[in-house]
Amino acid sequence: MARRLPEVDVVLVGMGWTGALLAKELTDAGLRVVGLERGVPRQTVPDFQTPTMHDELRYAVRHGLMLDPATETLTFRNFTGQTALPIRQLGSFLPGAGLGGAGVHWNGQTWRFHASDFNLRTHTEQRYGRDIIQEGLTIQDWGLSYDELEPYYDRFEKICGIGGKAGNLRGVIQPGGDPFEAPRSSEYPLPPMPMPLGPTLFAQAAEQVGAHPFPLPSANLSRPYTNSYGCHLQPCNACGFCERFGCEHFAKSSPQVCVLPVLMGRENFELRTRSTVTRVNYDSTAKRATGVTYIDAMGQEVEQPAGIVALCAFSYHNVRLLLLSGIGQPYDPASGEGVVGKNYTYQTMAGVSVFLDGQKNINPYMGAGALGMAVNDWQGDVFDHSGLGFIGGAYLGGLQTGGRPIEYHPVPSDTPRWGGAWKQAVRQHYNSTLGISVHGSSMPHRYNYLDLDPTYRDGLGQPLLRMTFDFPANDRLMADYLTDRALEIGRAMGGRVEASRRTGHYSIVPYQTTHNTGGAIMGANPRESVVNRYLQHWDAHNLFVMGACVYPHNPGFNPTGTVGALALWAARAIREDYLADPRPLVQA
Amino acid sequence: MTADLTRRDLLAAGGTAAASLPLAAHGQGMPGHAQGQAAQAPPRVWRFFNEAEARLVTAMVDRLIPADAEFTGAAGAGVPEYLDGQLAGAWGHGNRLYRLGPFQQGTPEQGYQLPFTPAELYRLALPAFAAWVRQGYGSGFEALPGALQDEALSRAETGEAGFEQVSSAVFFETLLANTVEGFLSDPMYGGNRDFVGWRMVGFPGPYAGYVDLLERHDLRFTRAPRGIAEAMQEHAAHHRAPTPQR
Amino acid sequence: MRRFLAFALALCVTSAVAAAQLLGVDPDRRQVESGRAVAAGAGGQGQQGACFRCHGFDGAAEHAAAFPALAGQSAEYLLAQLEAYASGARANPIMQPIAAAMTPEQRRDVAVYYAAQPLPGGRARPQGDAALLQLGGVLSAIGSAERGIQACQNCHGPGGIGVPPTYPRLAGQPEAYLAATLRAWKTGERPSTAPRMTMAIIARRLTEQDIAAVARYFAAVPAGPVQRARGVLP
Repeated sequence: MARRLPEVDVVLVGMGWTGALLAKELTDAGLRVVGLERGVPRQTVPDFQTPTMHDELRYAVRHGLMLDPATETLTFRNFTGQTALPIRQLGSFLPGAGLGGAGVHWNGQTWRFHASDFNLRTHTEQRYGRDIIQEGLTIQDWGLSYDELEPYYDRFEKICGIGGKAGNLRGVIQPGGDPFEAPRSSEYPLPPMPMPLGPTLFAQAAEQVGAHPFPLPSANLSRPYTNSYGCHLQPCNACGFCERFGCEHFAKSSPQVCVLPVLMGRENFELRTRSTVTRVNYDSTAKRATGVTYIDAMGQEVEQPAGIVALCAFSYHNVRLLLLSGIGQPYDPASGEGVVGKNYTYQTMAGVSVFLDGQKNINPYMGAGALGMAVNDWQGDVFDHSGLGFIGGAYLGGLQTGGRPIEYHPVPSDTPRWGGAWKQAVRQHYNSTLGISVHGSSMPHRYNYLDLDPTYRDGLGQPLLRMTFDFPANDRLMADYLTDRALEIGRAMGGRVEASRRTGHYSIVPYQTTHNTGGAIMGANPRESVVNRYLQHWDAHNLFVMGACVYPHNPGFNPTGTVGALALWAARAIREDYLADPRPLVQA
Repeated sequence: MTADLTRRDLLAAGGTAAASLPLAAHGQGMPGHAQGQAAQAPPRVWRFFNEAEARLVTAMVDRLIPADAEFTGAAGAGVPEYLDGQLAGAWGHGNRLYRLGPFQQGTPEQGYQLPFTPAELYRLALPAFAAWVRQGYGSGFEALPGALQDEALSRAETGEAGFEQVSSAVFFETLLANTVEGFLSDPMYGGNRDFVGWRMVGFPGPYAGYVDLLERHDLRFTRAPRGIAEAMQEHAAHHRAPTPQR
Repeated sequence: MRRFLAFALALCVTSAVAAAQLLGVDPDRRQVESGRAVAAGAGGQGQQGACFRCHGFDGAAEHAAAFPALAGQSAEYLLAQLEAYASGARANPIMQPIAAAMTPEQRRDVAVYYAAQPLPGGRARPQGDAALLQLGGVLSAIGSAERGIQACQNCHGPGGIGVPPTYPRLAGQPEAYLAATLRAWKTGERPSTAPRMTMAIIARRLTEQDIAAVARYFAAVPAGPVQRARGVLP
């Protein structure tokens, strides 16, 4: 029997970015908040230190900070007709585990989406007509606009101390920034990082082909910074160990650095680590969540009643909890009915390598996770898609994130995979090769979705989440078109170029990105979405769902900036609207 | 015949006792332990491999990353020792591997679906590869000329080498990935001896901070690498009894 | 013979070699000899400002004094300090006129000269409050969660041996020099590398006791090369 605890005002499931932000905002409002985190506590001091944190084998290859698949994983298949099999070792994406979540080991590339991303269907049909939308694509509007979200992007950037250069300040195009971005109310809080040779060559080449390069918005801090919560951050020293590592310099925005210092120690906040939530308790008659049940650090089942429940776990894990809890109608691809698990999307990645063959010293290990230059000339709907046969786009980026050699040793594709020639090639190309990443959008498709696996279970005996996904034809066309653009820039950079195109089926083996999105999407009505524009569940007004699982499609940007902005947007709605009169904030 | 073959026979017969046989002394009194190999492999106690496995895997990885005029190969870099440590440890025994069934063959896109831990995979595949080579080439892998060793490895890579219980291609990919790891990971794990892998590419190691150098484009930067274990030793050395003041 | 030995040792010291290569010059005889002459007072600063008067020809620390040890320090770092003194960016009534009187070549050569000197073997014998030394060790290796400061060793290397070219060696520096430098950052007398201000921020968060502890700790760490045997952790 579960031990039943006294009711609290709010229980948060997961203490990564969204959990930390909600905890801060809702304790500010005087609420008693409990944060449940299934992983271990960890802090900059003493857990992240040179040299032990800079251990590529332990953290990058063996995934030392990530979710242990032996505890919980997913099953995967490309098509509905296949048998989904468990992802036995992590590969394509790396969900976080532990306090701070993936916010500890992200790169820090912090974007805003474009205005047309928020009303994708309306915008697309208006500009091109319905025919450009390929059969099976289930794109839809998000239920809120960029202009509504803009103040919250601004707030999140000021919590993180993002370094960048505005390209559009209140409608006025700014030199040096991204001229295609949606209007910003203010400049980035910090300037960009100094640019090394690789991104500089990329930017010069991009200008040559007529594109508009700008510094990629970065959560690796370019200056010392005190954020809007009063937390102190320090400047990045470009050690080249961001993605998959914790930062020992207080120099990468994370829940640990940006939020927890003011949150921990508050009397109305309690953090419980090693607490694995197994379900949200739901009163289907009253259409209310009554709290959550979790397994505590001692393996005991505990029930935590709460007035408000917010799912703040990693993207698809929120979807799994909704399915395990029986809240909302599961999506059925055959009929197209149901919503939970619908519109699972990813990121369509491709790339170009530029081999300078020893002509330049790139020094790839002098890096930071978001250090680089990018162009958005072929992003979203910046360019005319007429006659192209696809929607969406990508940013092209010349980044220098680090040169950790087990995973970074680029060689031309005609190099043997092993032996003396491979060794020579690794030696020759390590310090003189540049990459251009194609960071492409992912459009939802009727047959790409999440549901519960009929066979495989986790360590607690609960069904695993089942992922059915392959790249839709739309996205393959997009990636091909964008890779051609990247090749043009690569050629202008003066080296030998090689494309890594988006071919074949989606595979869970090679790492691509941890940008798993959709599955509990937001929208204008309960027939086509799980949550409303305030991330409030249509079937339980005291249940809120955070994270990238609410994206109806995944634009061609890294998702974290919008994850943060939406959490702050939802927090405001809870504080200023919901608390005074708990009810559905949008009438179905 | 020799102690090694006895172990291999045991292995082939499925005897897990092979793994727990007492380790024989290195070199001395070991028939079948060729002089050249004894000179190559530094004397050490293997934690996972038996002597025959160690010799075979040493010869295999040294073809995957062979020595050249400037930089030693995988054997000289300690990759066999790296593999031994990994396989004897938590990773070898299935840490961070989802191991619940049912097990069934999947598509390549579905990734690793075998029921074996890495340690079990190596324990099955090494003698299987040895037997397959002996049958096809009439000799042990270690005794083959380099070109034939490469051919045998290529046939394992493509899956052409027929092992009974495990795909040779799956094993080859595991071995190749682990060999690269051993050559380029921090030397505290046993490989990358004397920082050979890092020196070869020019990676300065875990002590890193370059923000003041980012705008010095095309800088020829060389700094002798320093590893985690070395740093820890240095740190510990600082805490020994103080030397007399100058 | 002594010079040969010094060179052989210097080549073992990664900092000197790497820094010199960064400058585009190996520590060749001409540079080192020219730098030695500058140290002896042949530079624009003259005999009155001869470096050796305080820093010795060997660049070793005087533990009782507040002069930094220069031997084996990163040449780039030494040069950057001389440039900062010369421009007045780093305020110091003694060093400012000396550095300003040197030509850029003299500053470079004397930096290369001291960088090429072998690391001294001695260190201060830790004295007094063991708890203070312990606090210094903790701040050095782990930092402080309470103050939000990172470990010294994250940038300055194991035991503060320095990570050239940017991060100077702290190990074996005189306690009084280390403490004075941290205070200079705290008060703003020593401008940290603009615009990032890393050391200024850290120093501002250190209490007087923290400063005393860190200074005592690094003064007690031997500067000299320790055995570089490659080890495998169990």
